[in-house]
Amino acid sequence: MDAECSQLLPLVCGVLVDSRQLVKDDSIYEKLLDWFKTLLNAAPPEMLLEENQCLVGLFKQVLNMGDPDPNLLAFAMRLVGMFAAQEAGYKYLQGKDVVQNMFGECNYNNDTWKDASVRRSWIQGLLCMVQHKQALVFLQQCGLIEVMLSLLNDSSLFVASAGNDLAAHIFLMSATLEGKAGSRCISDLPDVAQTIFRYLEKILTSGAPQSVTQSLKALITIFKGSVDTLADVLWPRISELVKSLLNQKPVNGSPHLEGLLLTFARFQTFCSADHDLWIVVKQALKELSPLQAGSLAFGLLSLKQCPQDVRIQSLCVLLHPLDCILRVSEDSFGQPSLLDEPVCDPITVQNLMSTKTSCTGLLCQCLNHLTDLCDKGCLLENIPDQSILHSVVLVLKVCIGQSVCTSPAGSQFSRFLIGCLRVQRSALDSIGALSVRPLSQEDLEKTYKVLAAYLENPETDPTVLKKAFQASVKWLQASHTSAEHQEASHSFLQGLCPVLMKRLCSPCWEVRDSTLEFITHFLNILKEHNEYLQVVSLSGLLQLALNLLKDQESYVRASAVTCTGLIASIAYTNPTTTFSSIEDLNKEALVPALIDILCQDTEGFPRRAVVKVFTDWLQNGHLTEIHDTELVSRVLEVTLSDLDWEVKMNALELAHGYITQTLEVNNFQSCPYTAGLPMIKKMLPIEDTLRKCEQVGLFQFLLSCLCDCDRPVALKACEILLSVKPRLCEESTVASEQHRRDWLEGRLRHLHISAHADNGNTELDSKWVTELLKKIDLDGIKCSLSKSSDYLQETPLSLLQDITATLCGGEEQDADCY
Amino acid sequence: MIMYCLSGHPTLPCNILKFKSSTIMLDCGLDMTSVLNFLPLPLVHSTRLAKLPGWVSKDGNSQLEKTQLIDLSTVDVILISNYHCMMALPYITEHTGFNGTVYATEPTVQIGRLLMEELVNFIERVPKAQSATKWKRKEDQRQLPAPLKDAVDIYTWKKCYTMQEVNSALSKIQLVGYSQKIELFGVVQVTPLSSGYALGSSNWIIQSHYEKVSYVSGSSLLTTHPQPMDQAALKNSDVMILTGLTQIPTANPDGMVGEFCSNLAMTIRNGGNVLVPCYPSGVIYDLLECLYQYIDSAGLSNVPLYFISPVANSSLEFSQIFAECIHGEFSNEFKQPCVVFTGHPTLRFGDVVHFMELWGKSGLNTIIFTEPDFSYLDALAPYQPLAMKCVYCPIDTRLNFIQVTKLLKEVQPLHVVCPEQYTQPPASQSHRSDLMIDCQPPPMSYRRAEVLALPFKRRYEKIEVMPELAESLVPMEIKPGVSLATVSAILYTKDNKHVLRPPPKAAPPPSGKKRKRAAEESPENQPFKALLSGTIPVEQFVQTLEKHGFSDVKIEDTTKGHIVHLQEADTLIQFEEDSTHIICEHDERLRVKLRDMVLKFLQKF
Repeated sequence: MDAECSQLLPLVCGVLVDSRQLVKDDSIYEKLLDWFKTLLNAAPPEMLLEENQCLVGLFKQVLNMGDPDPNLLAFAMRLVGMFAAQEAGYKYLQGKDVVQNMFGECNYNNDTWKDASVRRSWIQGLLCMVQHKQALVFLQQCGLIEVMLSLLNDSSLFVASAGNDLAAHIFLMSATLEGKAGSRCISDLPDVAQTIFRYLEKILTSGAPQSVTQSLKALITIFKGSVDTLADVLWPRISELVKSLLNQKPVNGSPHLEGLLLTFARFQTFCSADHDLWIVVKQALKELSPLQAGSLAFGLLSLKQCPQDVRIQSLCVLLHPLDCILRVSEDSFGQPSLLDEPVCDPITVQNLMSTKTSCTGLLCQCLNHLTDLCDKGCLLENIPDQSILHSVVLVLKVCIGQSVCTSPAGSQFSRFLIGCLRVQRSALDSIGALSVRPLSQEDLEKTYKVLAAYLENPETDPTVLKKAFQASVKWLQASHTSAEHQEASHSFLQGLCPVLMKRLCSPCWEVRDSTLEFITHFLNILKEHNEYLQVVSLSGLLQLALNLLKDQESYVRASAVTCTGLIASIAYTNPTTTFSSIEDLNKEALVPALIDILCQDTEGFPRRAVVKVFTDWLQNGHLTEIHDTELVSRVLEVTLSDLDWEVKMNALELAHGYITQTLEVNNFQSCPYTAGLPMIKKMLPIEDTLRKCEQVGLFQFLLSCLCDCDRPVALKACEILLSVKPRLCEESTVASEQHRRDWLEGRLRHLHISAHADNGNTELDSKWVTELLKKIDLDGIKCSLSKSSDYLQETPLSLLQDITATLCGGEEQDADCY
Repeated sequence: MIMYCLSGHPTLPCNILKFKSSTIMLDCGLDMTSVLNFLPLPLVHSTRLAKLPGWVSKDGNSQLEKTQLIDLSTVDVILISNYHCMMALPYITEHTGFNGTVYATEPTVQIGRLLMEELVNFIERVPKAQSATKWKRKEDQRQLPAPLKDAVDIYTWKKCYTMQEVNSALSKIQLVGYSQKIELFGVVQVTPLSSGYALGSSNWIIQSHYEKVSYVSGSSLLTTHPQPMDQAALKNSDVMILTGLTQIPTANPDGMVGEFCSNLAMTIRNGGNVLVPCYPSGVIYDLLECLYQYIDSAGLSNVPLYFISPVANSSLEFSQIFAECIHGEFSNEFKQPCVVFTGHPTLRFGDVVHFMELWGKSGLNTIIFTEPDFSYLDALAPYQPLAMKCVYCPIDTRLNFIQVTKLLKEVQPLHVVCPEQYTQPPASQSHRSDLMIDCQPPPMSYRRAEVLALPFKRRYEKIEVMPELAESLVPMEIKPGVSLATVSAILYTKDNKHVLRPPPKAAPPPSGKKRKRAAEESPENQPFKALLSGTIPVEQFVQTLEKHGFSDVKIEDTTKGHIVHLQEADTLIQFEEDSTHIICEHDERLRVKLRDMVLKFLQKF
């Protein structure tokens, strides 16, 4: 702690305990705790306490108050906990009776204790403190274990939850610090651990849902922190308890039961297929409610180490809702069901599927899990891909009334699902995710057909349409590599063009926007395939997309800019495509239009997009001609005065790309064969670089950005300059002057004025840049820019000053008000 | 209560309700689909249409058949729910001997008049050289090509009415306002309620003191130009007659308007014209409103919108919508590409015929159908082959089945009566069980030319009791909360109102000594017999019998009660829910004895 803080701290402690001062802003307690935490990381607690006697004074004063402010007491409890977390600090405070008085002898019946924040802080203080054996002994001696356990059923959820954490923590600490090596059964565990475990066991079997849940939560926390050996010791008892819970109907505490089982399933020691755990898991898959069993199944399938039969059963549980729909549909195309036999209780599932909310909830859960499993690559290899895909397609068809379900159950599903956006979105996500699975021609056609129906349907909600587009992109991506699937993709795209054109004219901007995004995505995927490009360009779709550069909605304009940029890029890369015939894509026509947007658009998104397009063009080598330097120069000039910092960030990307390319050319000229050439010749290319960069005003731009008031902009400029500085300033000697940004700002202003004085003759000696660069402390600037912008205001000193100022000055300020 | 169903068209209903002693016609929609069987009437001579081969009839003879469900001259009132449902009014008021009153709201009449005027104008401005009716004869009709030869009730196809008939019909309408209560002959009260579908559109409540029938026809929950639908007043109906639901249950109007705008913009951007066949009122207002906003945002604000109709100005004036952006007159400054709204949606008459001839040949142009009343394929048939693009965006803002289910849940009518089309999924989508009315008890359906006894009985009638009569009553409590009094009075009924008056005082015995026979005495002079009430507990009765010395009592249970058999005396006592019979043929004294025993168990008053 620095001297200034040390001096202020007594004053702060004084005002905190001053009962006349009411601390209105309790965030100062949190800030102080944060500060002490960092202090304790650096210095031993006993030393801090010794040097700052005011702290112990504070604790004692708080304890002596008859009726302390709950927030202050809570703060003191947590702070004591932090100082007592190390044995030395504990001993020091215990020597002053602080620990004993703070945690041990609280009058638990008084009004203060009724405040939930006090109880919670008591727990948090202990949670912090119990890191050593001394603290454990203290707990036992004072009989605090019982108090802690009684808090598990506290009326405040926060207290109960913190109590859980504490119980689990103490259990684990006790087992670690006091446990004997090679314990084989629960009776070998230390007393504290046994007490806690017995208590948890007791409330788990109590039958009261609240208690069961608390016990399960505590057990989950215990096993999350346990090692294999401990888990092994506890499992036989736990397995009995879980089985007894599973035998009840309905299963008590089920949402956490699956969590407990999944925690166990992660232990290496249980991974052998014949372990007893899996029997219990399989029973749980059967007995838990379909929703809970679904999440258990999902958790199991996400595991790397899970026996094959459990995986199969899990998959069956997971897919059960889809199977229900497939079974009642007349559309099953020879795929009457997904599963050979239902795994859950069919009646329970049927009941759930018979009301709209639970039916759609279950179905969405199933679809979302399926999507996640596909995305994670956790699906089994030999699953019935076709049937799964078919059932998802079926759900999608039911949702838009395209599937025939005449049976009573089927028509009920139809009623639930038709127009249900939630299911539509989940199913489209799933169908997109399923594109990574092995696919057949038939699957592809089926999928494209249903996707086309969604894309065409005027009733499709914009959010659903977006998902349909995303799924379509995934399938196009999955299929375009294989020649046999190309035909289906080709005809899908062909059919899609008129639909996309219509969508581009939609009155709903979200639709226009997601359509443009889709066009951009699929062009990106298919840009190598001339035959696709031809289909697209002949349809007139691209001209319509170009039209949207003038859209009313800024998001749409931004997407149109990105899309247009890509279309142009494709046309420039491959002049033989039919794209090149679109007149609007000529650089002479397009560049002024884009520059117009950059200069005049009132919204940031389109301007950002324009700069990004130019950056992409630069990277793809479309800005190599002489007049393109004018373009870069213009972009840098315009963006420098842009008020949107992200536009500047994008322009910095452009500048970076430009300078890198320029250097690379020179690099090529100077590498390795030129290594031995005389010094002067080697200098020339750098001068060329400088001149080229100077032509577009690149350094002016970078240096101005370095002085920008937006920190990310300045940082980015700084990084770019740092990366090129060694190349530009060859003498690596550290210059005598090391200036910061304020100096640079003055220099730039000076340069600007002198440039103007030269009547617009900006032909400065290009060495000014290197001279300037040598004089700036880029590393220092980067270091200060990297810190968060509020670090100046966040020093401990300023915190302490603020506290004293607010609390001491409070009265005066109040007086001033009158 | 009896309902005569004169129309099978669910959105153009025409039903007659006989309720108490009144005869009420609910709507008189005009189904114009038969027009599609005719060739278009071009304003400008069309060589193409003129050159089409004619059909030559072979002579034949047949007898005219006529079925008459009900004599329309007996109709007392006609209630109109919206302007589409009054298009047949002149046929009824002018040709059937009808001499009742028609009730409708003012906007309904105003717009209805515009629609009729436009129709008459469209037809009359292209006079036909000759009119033929002989083809209607059964034998001739059989020779005609399909679908004409299969058309039913061809004799009901009528020539269009004249403006004179329209004026005369409209003069019979009495204007009403929403929630206004109209007494019909003291029998029933009718009230129009806002239905939210079109300007002035209404649902009707028809109620007496104890019965309430609601007639829901063409309602909408969408918030567009009309007043929102009044649902609360429909509660507690005994019967709800539900007609005029959306004709396109699978399309939601918002989606369709979006589709309309997208297709319109796409055509204009490609340099084509857009033709929208429409009525001069209704959905066109919503479309113009949407277009007005959309066209601006899509950068198409320089594209002219033309609304061509003989009644365009009146319609725009009446609805007070953006008249400034509409070009009502088709003048020299006609600029292309443009959007033209014009009638008639059948494409058989009106300015639309001209535009079809003009623009049909170019693939750049688009015709967008928004009115769901006619099959667009049939409408287009005489113009084939057609190069112009055709888009079908039916916009129907009337209630869909989800909304109906919700409405029924909310207002909970005891019975629902609806056209049979609503009780099963549409034929083209037989698997969509969600596209039908789903309520408990299941709705009662009707079809054309059916007579339906509505499923509720009139149980009560309100009767007024005169104060002096009421004063004389002495109620007796027969069980807690229920008191009864016998009343002897004279029931006077006049103008469907019933009053109970005290009977005239017994006249002093006539001076003449002539005795009248008892049977001739007027009923009010007869002394009252006490009324009996209560039930007889059989076991106690049997105990009483035994006390009186009957030892051979046998009890037999029957479906309606019990039979007590006194074997020795050869006597039966039948106890039923509402009667007791003592069957004892030979012993009157025994009968009286038994009767007195029975009476002891009953209350008298």
